[in-house]
Amino acid sequence: MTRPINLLAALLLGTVSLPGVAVAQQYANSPFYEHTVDLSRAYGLESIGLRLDLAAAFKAPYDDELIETIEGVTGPAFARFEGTLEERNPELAKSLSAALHEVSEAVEEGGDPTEAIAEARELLEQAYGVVIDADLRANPAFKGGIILNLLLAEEGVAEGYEEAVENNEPWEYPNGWAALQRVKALWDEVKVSADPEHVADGQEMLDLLDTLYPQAQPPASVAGLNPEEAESPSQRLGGIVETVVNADLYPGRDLARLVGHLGELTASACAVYPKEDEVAAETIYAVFDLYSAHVEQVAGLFSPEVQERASGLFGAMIAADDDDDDDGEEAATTEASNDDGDDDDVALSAVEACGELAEAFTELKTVFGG
Amino acid sequence: MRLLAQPGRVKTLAAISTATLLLSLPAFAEETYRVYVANEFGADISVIDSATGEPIKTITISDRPGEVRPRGMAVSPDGKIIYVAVSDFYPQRETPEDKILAIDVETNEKLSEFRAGGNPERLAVSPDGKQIWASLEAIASGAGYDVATGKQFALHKVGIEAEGVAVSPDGKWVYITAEATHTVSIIDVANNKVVKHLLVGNRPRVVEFSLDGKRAYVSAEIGGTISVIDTEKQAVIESINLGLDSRPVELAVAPDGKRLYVAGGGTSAVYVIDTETNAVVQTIKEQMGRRPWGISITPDGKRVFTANGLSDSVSIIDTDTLKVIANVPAGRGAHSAEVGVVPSK
Repeated sequence: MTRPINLLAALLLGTVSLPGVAVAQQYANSPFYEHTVDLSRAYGLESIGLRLDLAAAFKAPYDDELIETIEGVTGPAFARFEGTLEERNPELAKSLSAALHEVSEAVEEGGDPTEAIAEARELLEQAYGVVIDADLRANPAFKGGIILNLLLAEEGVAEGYEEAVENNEPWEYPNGWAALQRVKALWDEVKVSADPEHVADGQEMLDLLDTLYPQAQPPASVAGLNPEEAESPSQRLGGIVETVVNADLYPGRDLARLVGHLGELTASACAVYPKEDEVAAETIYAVFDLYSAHVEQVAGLFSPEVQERASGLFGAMIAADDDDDDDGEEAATTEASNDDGDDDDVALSAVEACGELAEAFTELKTVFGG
Repeated sequence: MRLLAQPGRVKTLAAISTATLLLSLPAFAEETYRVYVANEFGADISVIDSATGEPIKTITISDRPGEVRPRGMAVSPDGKIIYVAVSDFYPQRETPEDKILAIDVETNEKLSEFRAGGNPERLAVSPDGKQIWASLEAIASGAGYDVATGKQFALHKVGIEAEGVAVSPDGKWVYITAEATHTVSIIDVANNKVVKHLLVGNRPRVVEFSLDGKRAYVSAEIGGTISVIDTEKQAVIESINLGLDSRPVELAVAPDGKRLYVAGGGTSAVYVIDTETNAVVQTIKEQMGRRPWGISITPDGKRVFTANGLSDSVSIIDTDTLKVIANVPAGRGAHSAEVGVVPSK
């Protein structure tokens, strides 16, 4: 099913200019292109690890918001690699799922989750080894991709701080704190190949971030804090990591290329959807991450109808989080929201939604000059 | 004169090269310039004598540093007034300080101020000096204000996280960048409407017009590029590659129009671009302060000043030799630089 789009009309009205923005290749690696789905799987594994860290960092009785975060160990984070883990080691998948549920229940009931956390951590580490190839996991560029996600993705260092301050949601803060601790551990691994100047620069940014995240506990008040405060050092650290690991870690630099890549990935998921739903969904999670981080807002400005349609399709395939708090930051011509109750989208099967999404990416590629 | 010998982490006052640098900073007989540096974290403005590098004054913007931040600045066409965008990160207060502030260059006193809600980040003044345009970051908008009354006469939705703003030399167009949508929105001033969004490099920060208005240059921090816009076609015609690690922010067009100076925050460098060929003709790194974001040039074109956010300093560049000739202290979180002209007696 295709719907009319307003791209042609927009072009005729002269409100869209095709960019012709060329992006030079500078780094040898592009992990977000070369290992897109594996990075998403790794982020799922990391995300569960962070939630376990939070469960260990606090004691019962846990705050309701924190409980909700920790319960995420069995949600979309797990779904990012669940299909692959089940395919390769079904027993481990089952054990890990059970252990994570045990942590979740212990936290919810106000018990002591220490033992459950230890078991879950051990199984999670085994799962990491099964899902992500050992050489890839040890690859500095791949680690750089994980660091970038931990710094800048949802629930990461920059976003955790911003959500806590801007939306007065203090329990977003521990997410950023946990992500920062993991960034520091990964930085220690990748910096061994860095020159002293980059090591010092990176450490300086980590020190700055440490001043924003002195402890896991949320600050007593966030009034007067700049929600963007963690973004600048996170971005700068991201740039330093790029140089250190010799990898382009900002896939949105070339939107036409990215949209084309997402279209191809989506098509590959569509091909396996009827038989292997969970594996296909892993690909769609990876597509969703890059779409929501780099494409969605721009598409909303240039082609709001396609953006609305594409954004609405993910919900038919994955548990996409549409809780986007843009508040007043809605772009000029963006009229759509992701959860507008479009019955047509909701009624679609995953297979149908996948096909439509691939089509939407083809249209967006044209919009961005591909 | 307080000079920083090494613009690195340790802000050591120079003892070695002070005399040499002093000699290399000739006083300007024709006009006197003052450099204004907006210190984001200190909530103040450093005023520096452009000829000697001596601090003249620190102008307090707010008694709530951290919460209230001076960031982008603009200068009136005659050079006599500096306008400062002041953002209040606690806007729920009864008396929020989101505003545009005017400073008299001759006296360094505040002349006037008016409310500009929505987190104003950067400013531009119309060629006749009668309008100020601001990017309002929090509400993804660009706004026009009447200088005489402070009244807002235009408000347009632009891309998300509005940042840079520039008024064309003929006053007919306003360009506003947006970091999250990687765009420049073009506002037709006479018809009071947004006519086009242009996709530029990733995370665009600042936009500046060429002197003849035929080109607009847009820095892209993540893209590591300068997008060159043909203003007649309203299209990007070239992308100048500075390197992905360059992280360019502010731009300054030389008064003769022949060079574009770009502050490269990622590499702590200033890139010098020949506007005829759009080629990088020099990269100035030696003795540069750390993370230059702000950059401005004197009206006579002889000196370039950068605001260095990680070393809280200003680097002074001689445009003949294209070398840093001095580093002088600024306040905490030096963000932007602007040059004012002291009226001749």
